[in-house]
Amino acid sequence: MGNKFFTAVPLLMAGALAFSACAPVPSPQQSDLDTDTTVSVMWNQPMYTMNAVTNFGNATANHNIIYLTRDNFIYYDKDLNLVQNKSYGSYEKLSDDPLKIKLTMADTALWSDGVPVDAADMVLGWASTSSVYNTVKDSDEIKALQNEDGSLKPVADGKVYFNSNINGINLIKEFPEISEDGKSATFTFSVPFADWENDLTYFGASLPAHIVAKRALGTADPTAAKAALLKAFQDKDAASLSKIANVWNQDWNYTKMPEEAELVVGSGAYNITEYKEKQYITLTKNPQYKGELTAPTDIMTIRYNEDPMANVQALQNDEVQLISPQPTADVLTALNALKDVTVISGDEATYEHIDLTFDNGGPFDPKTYNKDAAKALKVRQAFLKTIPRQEIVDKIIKPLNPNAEVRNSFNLVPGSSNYADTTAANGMSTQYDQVDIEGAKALLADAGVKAPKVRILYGKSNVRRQQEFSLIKESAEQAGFEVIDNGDDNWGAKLGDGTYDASIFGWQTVSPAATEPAANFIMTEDGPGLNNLSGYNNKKINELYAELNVTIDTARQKAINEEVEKILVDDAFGLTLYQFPGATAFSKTLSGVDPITISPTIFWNFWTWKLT
Amino acid sequence: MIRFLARRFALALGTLFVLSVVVHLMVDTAADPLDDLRTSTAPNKEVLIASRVAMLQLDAPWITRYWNWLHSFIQGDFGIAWRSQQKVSDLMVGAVSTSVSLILFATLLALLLGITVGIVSALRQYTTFDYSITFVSFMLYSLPVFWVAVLLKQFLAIGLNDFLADPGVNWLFVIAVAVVSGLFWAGALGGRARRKLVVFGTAAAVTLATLLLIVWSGWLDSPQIGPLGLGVLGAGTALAVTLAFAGLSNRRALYSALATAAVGLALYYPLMYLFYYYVVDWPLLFGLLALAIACGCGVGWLFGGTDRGVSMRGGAIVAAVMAALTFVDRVMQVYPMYYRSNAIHGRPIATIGAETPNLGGDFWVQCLDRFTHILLPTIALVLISFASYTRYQRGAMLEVLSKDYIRTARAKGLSERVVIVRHALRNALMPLAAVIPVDLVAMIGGAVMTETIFGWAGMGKLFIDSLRQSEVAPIMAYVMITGAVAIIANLAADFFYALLDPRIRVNA
Repeated sequence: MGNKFFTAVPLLMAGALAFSACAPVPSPQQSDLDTDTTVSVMWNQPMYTMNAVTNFGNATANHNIIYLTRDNFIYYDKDLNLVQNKSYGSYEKLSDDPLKIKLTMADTALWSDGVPVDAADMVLGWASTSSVYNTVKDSDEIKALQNEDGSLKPVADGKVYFNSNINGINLIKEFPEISEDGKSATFTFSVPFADWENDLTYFGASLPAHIVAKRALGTADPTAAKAALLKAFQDKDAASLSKIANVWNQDWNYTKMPEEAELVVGSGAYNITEYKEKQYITLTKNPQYKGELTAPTDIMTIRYNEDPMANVQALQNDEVQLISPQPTADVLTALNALKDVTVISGDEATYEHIDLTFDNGGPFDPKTYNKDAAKALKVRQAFLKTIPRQEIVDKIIKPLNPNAEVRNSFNLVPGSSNYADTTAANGMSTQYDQVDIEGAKALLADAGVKAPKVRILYGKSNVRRQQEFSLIKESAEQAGFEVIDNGDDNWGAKLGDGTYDASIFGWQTVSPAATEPAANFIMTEDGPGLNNLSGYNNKKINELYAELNVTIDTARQKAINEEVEKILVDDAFGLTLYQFPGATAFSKTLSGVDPITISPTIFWNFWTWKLT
Repeated sequence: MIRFLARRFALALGTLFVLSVVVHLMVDTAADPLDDLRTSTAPNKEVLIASRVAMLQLDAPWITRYWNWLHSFIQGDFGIAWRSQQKVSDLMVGAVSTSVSLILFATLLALLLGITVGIVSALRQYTTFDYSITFVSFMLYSLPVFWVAVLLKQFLAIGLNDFLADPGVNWLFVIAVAVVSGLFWAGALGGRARRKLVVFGTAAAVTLATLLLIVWSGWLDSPQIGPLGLGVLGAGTALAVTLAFAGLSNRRALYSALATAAVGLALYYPLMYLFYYYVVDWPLLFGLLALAIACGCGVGWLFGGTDRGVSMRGGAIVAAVMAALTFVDRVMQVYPMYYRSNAIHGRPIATIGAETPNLGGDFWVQCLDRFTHILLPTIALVLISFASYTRYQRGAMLEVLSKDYIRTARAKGLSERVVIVRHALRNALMPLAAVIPVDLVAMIGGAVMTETIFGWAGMGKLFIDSLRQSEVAPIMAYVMITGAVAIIANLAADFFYALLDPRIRVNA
């Protein structure tokens, strides 16, 4: 190879360039990039089951998606009042005693595969959550159903186990009367149940009966499948029921898009059309939806990230339009600095409270004073008078929620419709509004108790509770109490073990059901209510809750609750402090978002959202 | 050799067993699966607690739970993540691939940058350049990743997106970048004051001009490399590669590199038509890359000469670069469409996730979308890991440069380039055989903070989520997998070392 060859190289390059210059550029093929209206919402935890009424599926992350994809008889509004959704179905109470309710599906209630929602779906909703059909009841038998890895074994033929047991629903023992057209069903409670209306949610939004039956019994035709399912329940056909239960327990648990389209069949405003594990779930407007709670956009995407600052920045970058991060002072500062963003500071479902222990031989236990109940009551009252509730809210919560207030009701969420009446009646705000050191000293002197030692249990590593503890300690010691730091990281497991005299922690309210708080205060023959960790026992309270349980009349329910709370305040049971702060922020392009404290929080009124 | 492997294997099994016992006991003690139920007021709380106790055998002693886990593990069953009832093996597959795709690129980039800067830093030992690099790398090393991530999102995503919506020249910023670039090149290339000044001026001017051109020419609206850019970059690559590996005096190497660049350029339009008419996927692209490298080798071979290998290597590198540039150019062509799409609505750089939901689009759009999502986490990871590679490589290089054989090489009159590239660099790269396998473990193990903040569902995120939710099975799977990979990687490192360094014997 000579020099000529080498000089050819630049020529080659030049030639290539020249060739390039005269050739036309093929423009990229038009990709089918979307043109739908889309709203993106950030949530902290991915949905993991579309059957959220099982014993392991009860989480807000699941309820949210179900709320958007399955219609229901009722929902809760801004003031936590029950609202009927007549476009799905209607209900009426036929009689009080026995409590009989008749549910009728509307003609507009359709599954997204075109099959109408009817009595079979309601029956499945009731039968699966009532545990009436479970033949596996003994806890050892249930244990035997668990695989070594914790998953549930398919129940062997002839044994039925629906992994669910919902209070109230389990009071309906009889198979319902189903109307000729299959659109309505009449259920009868074995005893009257106060919260029957709240429990209607378990009749709607259940799994699609025709698909459960198809998967369990192999009947492909929807009408035949529903008939087979109803027959199986009616005849208590154990072989079929055990298959139905297996399908019901397992098939709707998925964390990514299932391969079988029938598993995403819904009845609500949206359908699940894409689910990328731990990344996002895409909901697309359901073309079959004929109801009133309609989708505000073509697409709603729920993206998953729990880092509060990542939430804020994704909102700022317009990747999502709605976030509800855990508020910290930094997150709120960052949010408030954003232009074109609306920030709502509000409450969450968890409320902080302080309980006193009645049965551990401590300063608040009558036993300590030779069963002198009056003396113990004075010591309790004295201690509660020193709790700086307003100061705790001002110093710890206001920076996170400027609208925060002291909560003055044991059982009602601030902002719920009966809150004002109840707090006026129970006396908590009049007796414990201000810190009263002198009053506390006087009560202690009156009782003749000197420097009682109070051990307080709280989450040791929880900064907020550390601050609460030191504020309480400082205040109580002025009145002559000796406050002992009993903080423990394992506080949850220590609750109720009697090693402390007062505890600071939070209860999460699950629903506004009237009977829900009973477990906090009652004492039964079998022992204390599940959440009565204080050893509290008041006959009148026990009676009142027994009455409430079977009281259908809502006015009477309200009166009972007021009476209960009055007694609790007079007994110096403890005090409620504040509602956990929450923050919701959304882009100015979105309007209509107005979160409530309980599930489905930000989503409750999705049909009134507007995207501009 | 067999005995060596057998002994190491037995040791590895023992280590894994002890690891499993310790971790299981620790997680089991620390985790409280009933935590969320304790403060619940659900009316059926009792049932829920009983059901969970039964499900997780919480009433049995720890050893029972451990035994059950071990029993299924030995049979190849990783168990289930009980909260979501998902099989751990399913979770692992997705998490590992996410972590690898996130961290592989970042690790390669950090290696490349770290090694290059480390070598230059060593060659310019005790100069201002060296001290500056040392300062910067230690600073980066000590930055907390969550803070870097927040800053990156603020400036490189939110700020850059705002800028792209309304591009304009920020003179202070542009001049600062030009000056820094000038200083960097002046320091890196070294020499006397006069030469430094020239380098500084040239580099600063080129940077300034490039930045202004990018903003003013509207390049940002429809970025592309184009045939012209491909020609310039190809010729530059050819020159640089030849300069580093063969020396410009090796004419055959130079011309073979240039010819490869020319072939690459000539293939630009045919390739554009190919991409237009055929639906492209990754296997095809990698096939084309392999073909390009083979062509590069072929061109080098044709130019022949006594040093055929050198020409072939240069050709191969240039061909790979040209192929990569052509790919990048094709991806850039969909940018205007991507930018205007409804899912992006004018904010292309993402702060979270691995992809834009519901984007649609073809292969190229998906590629671009992956890029806009991986950009920030990659920068965060590179910034932090780059520092250690720099320090590592600088040390290795300095040690080699002080060796007798380097003095010998210089004494026999070899050019400085040959001394550094052939005699010093090769030996200075050897310690990497010990570093890279360990980084492989980090890659499988994921990056907890980075994955959490950027919302990538990788191994690190899986680990931290499981820990938070008291799910023992995924944690154990995580520990077993990373533990096994770590042991294998260390074994491999020992092995490679023995292969590379004749002074080391595996049987020793």
